[in-house]
Amino acid sequence: MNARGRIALAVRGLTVGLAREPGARALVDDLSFEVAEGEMLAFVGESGSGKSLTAAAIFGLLPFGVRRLAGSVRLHDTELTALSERALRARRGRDMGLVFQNPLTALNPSHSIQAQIAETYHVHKGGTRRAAKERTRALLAEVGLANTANGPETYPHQLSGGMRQRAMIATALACDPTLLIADEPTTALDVVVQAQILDLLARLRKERGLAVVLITHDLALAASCADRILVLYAGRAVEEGCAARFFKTPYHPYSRALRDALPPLHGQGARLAEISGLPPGPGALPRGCRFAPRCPNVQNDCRETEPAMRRTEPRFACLHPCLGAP
Amino acid sequence: MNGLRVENLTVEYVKRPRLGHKEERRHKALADISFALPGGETLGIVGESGCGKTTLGHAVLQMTPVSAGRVLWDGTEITALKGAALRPFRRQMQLVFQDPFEAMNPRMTVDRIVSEPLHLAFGMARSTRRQKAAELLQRVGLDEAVLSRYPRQLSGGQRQRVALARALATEPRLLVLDEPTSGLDVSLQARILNLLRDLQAEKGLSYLFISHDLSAISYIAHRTVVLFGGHMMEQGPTATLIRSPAHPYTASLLAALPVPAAGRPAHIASDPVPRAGALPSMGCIYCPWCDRAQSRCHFDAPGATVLEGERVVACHYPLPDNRQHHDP
Repeated sequence: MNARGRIALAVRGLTVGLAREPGARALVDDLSFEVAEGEMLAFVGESGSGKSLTAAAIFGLLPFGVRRLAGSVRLHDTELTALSERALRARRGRDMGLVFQNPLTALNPSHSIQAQIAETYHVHKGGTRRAAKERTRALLAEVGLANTANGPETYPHQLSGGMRQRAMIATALACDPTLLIADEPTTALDVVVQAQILDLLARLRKERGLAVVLITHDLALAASCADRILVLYAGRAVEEGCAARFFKTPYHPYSRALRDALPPLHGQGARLAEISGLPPGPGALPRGCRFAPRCPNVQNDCRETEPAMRRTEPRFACLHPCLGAP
Repeated sequence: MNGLRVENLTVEYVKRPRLGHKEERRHKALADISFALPGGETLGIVGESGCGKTTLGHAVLQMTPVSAGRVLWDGTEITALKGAALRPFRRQMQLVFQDPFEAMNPRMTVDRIVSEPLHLAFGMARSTRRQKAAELLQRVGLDEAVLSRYPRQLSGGQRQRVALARALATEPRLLVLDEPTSGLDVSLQARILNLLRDLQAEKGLSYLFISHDLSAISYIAHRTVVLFGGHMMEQGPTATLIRSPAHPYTASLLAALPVPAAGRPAHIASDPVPRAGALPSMGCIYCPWCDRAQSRCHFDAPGATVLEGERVVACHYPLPDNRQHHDP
């Protein structure tokens, strides 16, 4: 982590919970992290661990009934949580872009791709329609849709899944954002297209100094393309660290379980390691460590005290971490 | 022969001439595919989106018209059968869809979803149906309490289990699994894959496992067929195919897999050219993207060549066998 760039996004003590019951369990609990310019941070966890909710909280797009209860979100020098809805709307799409898992539902089916990208640019940057068109052409070429860039108006249904996702990324990049949050951008795509999309993100990161937050459930994917990984479980960060060491020596039993659940490419014989049980629902949080009921390393003290995140490297929140050989 | 046998299967879709399009246009979704799946084994079908994986699954189940070639089940040519004669075979072969939510009626409870095939296939009475449905759910690791729920009340993993239970209801011997785990997160994927293995060991089922993910295929499939643009590129025992791919396309699929902790620029082999719609009309179908292509590849389409170790490859210049030199 030497020579990190300037910090683009800094989140401190972010807590998200139900608006009507402020005393109920937080859906995202006391989450802190930073992303530097040109860096990619990956959120990894099962469904329901609060990954997408964190992204929504950063953008101020939380669903009805869910609220940010505490914490700060800083994008460069601006405190986003202090902004009015109007001021925040001006920043969404301009300073920060969001790429959704399913581009077909995120794109408007009755407007052409070109019109949608031009609209984003025009709304935020103003200028002539001609300038917006020029910009759209350049963006489409940049994400590898040269034919669409120079061709006729194209509608989302005319594109394949991978091309739609490229168009989605082009829309997110229309106003030169400094932060891009990609929420499971490749889950619906096959491996070849996935590799292309990840190459594209890596290139954009290098060329534009874009800070990227990648949300995924696949630890192998995260470890292969991100700089740092943050593992979330039931709304809490359980481990954070450099991606290169994550696959070799995960400390938290949950990180290790996520890794061992992946089918290995070589070695057909062994049974896959399952994680028993399900993540706890919002209503029923166990006492002590949240992962204790499913943890293979569980001891008596785990059920009493909730472990805190260590302040020094390696950073994890566990009383009995996995040490030694994997 | 016991099990499934597919010989020179071709599926062609025809666009009839109409206003504006004077000529009849033909699209070959599958061209000359042959393979065998012995009873109790798993055959993986791998390839990118649009390569004909799903069409192959449907053609085997007689859900789409077959233009040429034969599909044999236990030696009976089911491509020659129709209507009532085909029905007993349909019972023996079931399909599990990629997205279980879209494959279920949202207004039916799990009980009705699972017991409908019991009624249709065996004419079972209502009271016994419910009991049988509970048994089926138990076999896929679900509680009886799920019976009275609706699909929307279930989690993704539970839904896929219900879809499996429904497929198992007619006591099939072949399951066509169309990307059964690609919508699930890793921990659920591990459970479904383990469950599929257990069911196979318990009941001697055959699986046609369709996926784009070579790591899931490597875990579950004994043999694998690699498809590209409707053509068979390579087939062979999965372990050999992954350790030492003979076709350049298989090698590129392997290179596209995320490699953890190998340093970041892991995917170099990928090309920026979108592959859809621009398949060559003559020569090898993969040659515009192939880095080993020579002049011959552009006009002479390679036929299926048998290599040692039960492998078949459709390539003029297959990659050398590197199993001896390189052991992971």
